[in-house]
Amino acid sequence: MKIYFHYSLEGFSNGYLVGNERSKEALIVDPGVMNRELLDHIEENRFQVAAILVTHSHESHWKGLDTLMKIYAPKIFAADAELGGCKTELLQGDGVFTAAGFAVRYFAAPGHSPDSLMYQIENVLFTGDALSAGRLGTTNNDYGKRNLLNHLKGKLLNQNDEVILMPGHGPPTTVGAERLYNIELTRESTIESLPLKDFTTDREPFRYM
Amino acid sequence: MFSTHQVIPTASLFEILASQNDIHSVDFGSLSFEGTDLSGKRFTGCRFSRSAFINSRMDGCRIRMCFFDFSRIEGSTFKNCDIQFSSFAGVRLDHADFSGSDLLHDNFNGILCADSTFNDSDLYNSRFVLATLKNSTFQNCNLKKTMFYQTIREQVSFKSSNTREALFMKGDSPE
Repeated sequence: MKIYFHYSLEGFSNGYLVGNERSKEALIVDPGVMNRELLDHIEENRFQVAAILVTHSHESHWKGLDTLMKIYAPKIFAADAELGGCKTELLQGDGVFTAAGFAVRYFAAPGHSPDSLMYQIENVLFTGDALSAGRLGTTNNDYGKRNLLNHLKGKLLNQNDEVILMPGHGPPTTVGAERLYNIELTRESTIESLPLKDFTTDREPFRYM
Repeated sequence: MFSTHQVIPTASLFEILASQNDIHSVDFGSLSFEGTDLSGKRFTGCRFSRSAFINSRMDGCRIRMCFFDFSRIEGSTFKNCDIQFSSFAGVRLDHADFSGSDLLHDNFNGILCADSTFNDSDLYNSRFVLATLKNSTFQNCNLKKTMFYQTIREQVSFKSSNTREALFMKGDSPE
């Protein structure tokens, strides 16, 4: 699996091209923009774009769909029946499907928006706007926040610390880092109690001088 | 570009670092780099989590989608680097020098940073959530969309940086 990060200056959102090096298929998570850089990555790798995964219906996360659909003929997966005039493969709740040769797990994470989904491929979880590094996704009210927190506790925080999180905005992070440094998730923690001294690992340290 | 990491015997990692300048998707986690010079190398999709960089040089490196989480960086320099979409969450920085670097879309959440400098760097869209910054300088930096939420700051200088475009918690002003 190869992942390329693309940043959209219009909505300040992250998009990702995920390539399958064996099947030469690819999928795109949140095509907020379809530009020359993304096109070059697809074509230089000779990827066939087989699927588009949309985390939620805010325009900055799918605005590139129109251009993409003129070039390729991928299936669109989302929790909405239609996006920008394009019919989608409707996803509800949690489950798994196959796209571009990958087993893609999906998790409903409503709160930031009612249709928010997270997608997981191997040890990489694309969180959309449900969570970004250090912050919970924005919500309109306390109910939405509680709802989102509950979903994240059951679907994200129960995962291994090493699982990589690719958010819809901002830098990448890991489940382990969010457990310690996410403002909302660590509200009851204090800075002093953070286990920064924990330097343990299963791996034998190796010195490279 | 980020790929799932290859499992490589520890001894072979030395060979990779010594012989290659363009390194992709290798797990260097938990290694200790002491007095090492890795300047000018290009790392893409690599893991350095829980590693130690002591008195080492990474100057002029190009680093993309790499993870340095929970590492220790002491007396080391990352000057004039191009480090984008990477994570340094929970790193302990002591006398580290990131000056003159492009540090775009990087995660510095939870770092413990002392006596370090980020002068003349571009920190666009990077985050320092729940970080502790002591006796460190961010002078002449681009801080547009740089997030300093719930950051503890003691003796931190933002001189000549565009702090008004940075994101601070309400009531928390660096000026």
